Amino acid sequence: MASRIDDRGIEYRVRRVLLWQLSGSEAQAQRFHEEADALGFDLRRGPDPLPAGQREDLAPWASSRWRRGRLAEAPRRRPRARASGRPRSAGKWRDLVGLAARFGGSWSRPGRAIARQSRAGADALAHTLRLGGPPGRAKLLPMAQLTMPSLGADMESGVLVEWMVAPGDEVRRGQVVAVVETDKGAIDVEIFQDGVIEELLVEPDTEVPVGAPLARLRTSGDEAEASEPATSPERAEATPAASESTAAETSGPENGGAETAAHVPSEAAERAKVSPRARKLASELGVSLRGLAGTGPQGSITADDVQRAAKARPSAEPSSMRAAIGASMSRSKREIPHYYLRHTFDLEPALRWLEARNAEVSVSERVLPVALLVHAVARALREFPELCGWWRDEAFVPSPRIHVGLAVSLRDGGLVAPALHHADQGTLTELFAGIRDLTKRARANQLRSSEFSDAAITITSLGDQGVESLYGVIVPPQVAIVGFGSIVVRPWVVDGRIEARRVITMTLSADHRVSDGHRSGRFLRRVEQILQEPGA
Amino acid sequence: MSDTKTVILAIIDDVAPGCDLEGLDPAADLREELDIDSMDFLNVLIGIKERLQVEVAEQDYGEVRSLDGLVAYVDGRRSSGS
Repeated sequence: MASRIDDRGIEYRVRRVLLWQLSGSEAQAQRFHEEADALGFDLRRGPDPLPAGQREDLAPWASSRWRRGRLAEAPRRRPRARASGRPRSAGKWRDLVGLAARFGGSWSRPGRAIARQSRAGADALAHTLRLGGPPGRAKLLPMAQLTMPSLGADMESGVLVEWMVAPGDEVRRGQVVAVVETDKGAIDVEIFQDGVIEELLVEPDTEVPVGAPLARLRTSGDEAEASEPATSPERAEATPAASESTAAETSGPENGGAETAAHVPSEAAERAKVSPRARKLASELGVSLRGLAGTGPQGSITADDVQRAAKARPSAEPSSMRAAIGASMSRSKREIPHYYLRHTFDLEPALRWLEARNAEVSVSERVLPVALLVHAVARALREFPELCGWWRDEAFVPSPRIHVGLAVSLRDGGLVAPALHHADQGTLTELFAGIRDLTKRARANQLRSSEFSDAAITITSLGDQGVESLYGVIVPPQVAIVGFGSIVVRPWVVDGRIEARRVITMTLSADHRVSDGHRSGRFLRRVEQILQEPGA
Repeated sequence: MSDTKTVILAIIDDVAPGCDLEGLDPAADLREELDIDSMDFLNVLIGIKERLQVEVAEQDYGEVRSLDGLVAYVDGRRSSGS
């Protein structure tokens, strides 16, 4: 009764436990880090009982994953993680009593209070115990780590395909250091901190759970780490005061973490053995290795298995992508209260302007109408920040940058929506060059990790061979999606007369927790207005 | 098969790998047949500019909807241009 603890208090205690946990092995610490993070603890905030030196080391380390918005996912939404053996309440209580004892009694009351006040708190503490690790001197992670990025709400693991760097190599922020194969295809993993690669922890062709370390990085300015955000700028700005020492932008704004830790202990058991030749063949043939039954030694997947799968199901790859899309869209429809707006307007002025422009340039400098649309939407978004950002931790976080996800359909089915960075900046020609490049790389499986995580709104356009309108499903944790139907010729009233004009139907699906129809309607009209004066 | 056609098919294969070019009806709408979008089509035209030195103007898109049309257009421009 008197021991009511607020969230800050719980966090403080979890931090304590976390530090304690650090006395165990580095792998163990990393695992706990993942788990506490997935449970949604802000390990940065709250009263800080730690000695100064430890605090500085711990805070950026612990906060790095939290900052990516995983708080929004409460453990109750994660049945899979619980199914994998997280202690249930009875065992949890025993664990907490044990915890109290190990803290010499003084933790007894807080421990109980934590369990009473917060399921998540209980989970975190209990999990700490489950992981073990004796109390003792704090041994802090000395280096930044590159970890397996989460590139989607439902990504659990990825296969490290190739290292682009070797130990001793100097790396610069934004450099591609590895290629990872996921449900969404092969992705270039970027590093988000300058430094020197100390050690590669994972061999190529290894399946690695999200969040597990891939490499260790010696950073140039260790003393600067605690205060200087090293991650991609948008996330740093999205959650002010955050700091970072993890070397990679390991996760998108999406929440995919709780399963991670549950997978770590059994990683070796779950990892499908695949011969390098089989993996190479699988990527050539577009066969997903997931769920493929192996006939080789110890159930390993051989090249023959891949061949058979390729014959049985020529497009095996899209099925895993279909599952990923399905999971993300189901979550969207379950959690996001969508509302829909639609507006059809005259595109004739914009198209005439574009045609005149294209007539004067070489075919390689020609710009397609989609660039006009993206350009107009991105510029309009400057005035409507409530449509551009992420829903995290039960609150809206506006994006300081207008990074627009562009839905790109892939040749074998499925689609991805990689981010076009700073879509409101630059000229139309530059924007179109960016769209072309992004589309090309999306279809060639050459996207970068930041392109999977940075989008703050999505635009989907049916092009000129589709139908008149589409209503998109918001990509969590984004809060809006803009849809453009095909450009069609319709009778249209211009200056009181009916004319045949090329018109387009724009739709907006948006999250009612963040915005509402009145202002969003003005957003659609603003886009129309911008398109009436395309050269401006 | 004309050289132009071979080159154009190679360009299409570069732009949209995996399309069934064997079964392509040369008189049918190329984009419908291959299910390629305007971005792919533009990339094909850029490829034609680079390899065959022929620019297909936007107002001539109607003439180049099919493979046959595209080949005829390119051949026409090449013979008159050079």
